[in-house]
Amino acid sequence: MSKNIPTRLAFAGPLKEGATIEARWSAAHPMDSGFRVDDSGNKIARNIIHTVKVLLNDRLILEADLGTAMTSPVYLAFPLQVPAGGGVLRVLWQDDRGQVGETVQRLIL
Amino acid sequence: MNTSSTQLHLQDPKRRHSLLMAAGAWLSSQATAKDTPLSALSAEGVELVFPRLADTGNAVPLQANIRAPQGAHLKSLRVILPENPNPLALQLKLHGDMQSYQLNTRLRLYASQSVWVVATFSNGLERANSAPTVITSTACLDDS
Amino acid sequence: MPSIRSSVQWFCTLWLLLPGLLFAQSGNAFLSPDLLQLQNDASRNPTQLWVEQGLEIWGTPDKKGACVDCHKSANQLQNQVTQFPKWSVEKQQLINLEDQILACAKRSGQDYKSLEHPQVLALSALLHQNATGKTFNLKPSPGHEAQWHAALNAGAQEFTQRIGRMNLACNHCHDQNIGKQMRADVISPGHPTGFPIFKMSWQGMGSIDRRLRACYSGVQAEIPAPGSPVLRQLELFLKVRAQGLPIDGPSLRR
Repeated sequence: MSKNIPTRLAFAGPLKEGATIEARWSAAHPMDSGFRVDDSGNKIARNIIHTVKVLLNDRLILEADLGTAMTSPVYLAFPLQVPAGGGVLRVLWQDDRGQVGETVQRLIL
Repeated sequence: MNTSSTQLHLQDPKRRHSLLMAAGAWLSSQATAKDTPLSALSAEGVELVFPRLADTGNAVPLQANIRAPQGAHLKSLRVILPENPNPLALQLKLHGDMQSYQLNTRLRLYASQSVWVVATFSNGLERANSAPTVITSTACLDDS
Repeated sequence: MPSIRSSVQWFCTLWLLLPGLLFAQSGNAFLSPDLLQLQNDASRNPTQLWVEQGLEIWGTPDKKGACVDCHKSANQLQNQVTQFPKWSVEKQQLINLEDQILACAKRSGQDYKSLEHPQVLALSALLHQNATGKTFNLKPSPGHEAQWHAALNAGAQEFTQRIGRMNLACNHCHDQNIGKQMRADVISPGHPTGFPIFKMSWQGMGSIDRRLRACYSGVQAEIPAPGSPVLRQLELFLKVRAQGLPIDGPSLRR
């Protein structure tokens, strides 16, 4: 059952060719560490986003392995160089249940 | 798996590295691929911004500013929280050639501790730095 | 005809409102510098994830959504947000914004069931965001003044009622000890201007109903069920007590 996970991808910095900007990605995933218990005392199963892949104009620029120490919502901000003509940044994620998602943002110069 | 094949596997540096990566998560003094304790690595080029006093253990902001040595670029980053049940918080593999890199993230800390960031560069060099924080506790014991 | 008893009750309620007025500060004023910085940065503030989700659910004239057909723009409901909790003739008790969202959603075929359903909170976050800057405007609806006043008085009474193992009433901390420190927390007057909140300890969003229930837990008292009349009465009292303070929009809390 696919649960809708809201994500957002924003840029900070000048959208000019060659400039280094910061991409800020967050995802409202529960990021259950597997250590918490619910009201009845039952352990809540671990379910976190464990892999994130970032593609800039379809080229893989970053791969991240996330552990249970990452917060909910997950927040990751990383630099990238604005390519000539701008383009598209895609952040792909996958969680322990096999659910996948994608956040896309255009880099418009 | 008999002993001799285990030995063969461990002699392969790549395999040893990945086994250490897995075991490393359970050690409070993390080892690098060359079995050097993190504290022995130079901190040059690894600058951390981490609050001395954290509001809440649930979201502690970490900023890592990395500067690669001359002629090299950043290949990977590891963020380690030794006191957490799963110490390897984040592992990044970069596929570019950035010489300066700023990572920002938020971490969940189980207890007051120092966060470690290990940077591996394209020339094989590793650098590591740490920053301590104390988690302040709230008085409201609401268990919701 | 108002009895002497109800007049005395009303006077006492007014008296209880005084400290709240003297310490007319939003909870955001009590955020630590780090959290305040995060609160003020829309690109990093976790509440914005829910606001954006709310916009998605609401829909636009061009894109189908659950609310746009009846309500048009979410911006048009700014004043309505400031009027909750209201007396519901149907339920014969007060209802708050999340209750209303649940009722509306059910009418359009979406049974969310829980006040804390992520989509309910997303819509609440959107509506409160749009109402930022507006002040609470609690008034009895015509014909139901007596019920409204009774609810307000009940809320005031609850505010001063000692409860739990700790045997504390709300006013002990939130009136008598505002500004004092309890470990890392600074006690605020408890004005409800920042709901729905993203609480770091919850690692998620929650409504005022959830937060008030957590207060009961905080003093080790029996926790009222979600949607209990006492919680709505408290909410009414707290918002009347906070009259004049502007809504902050969905905010962060520790």
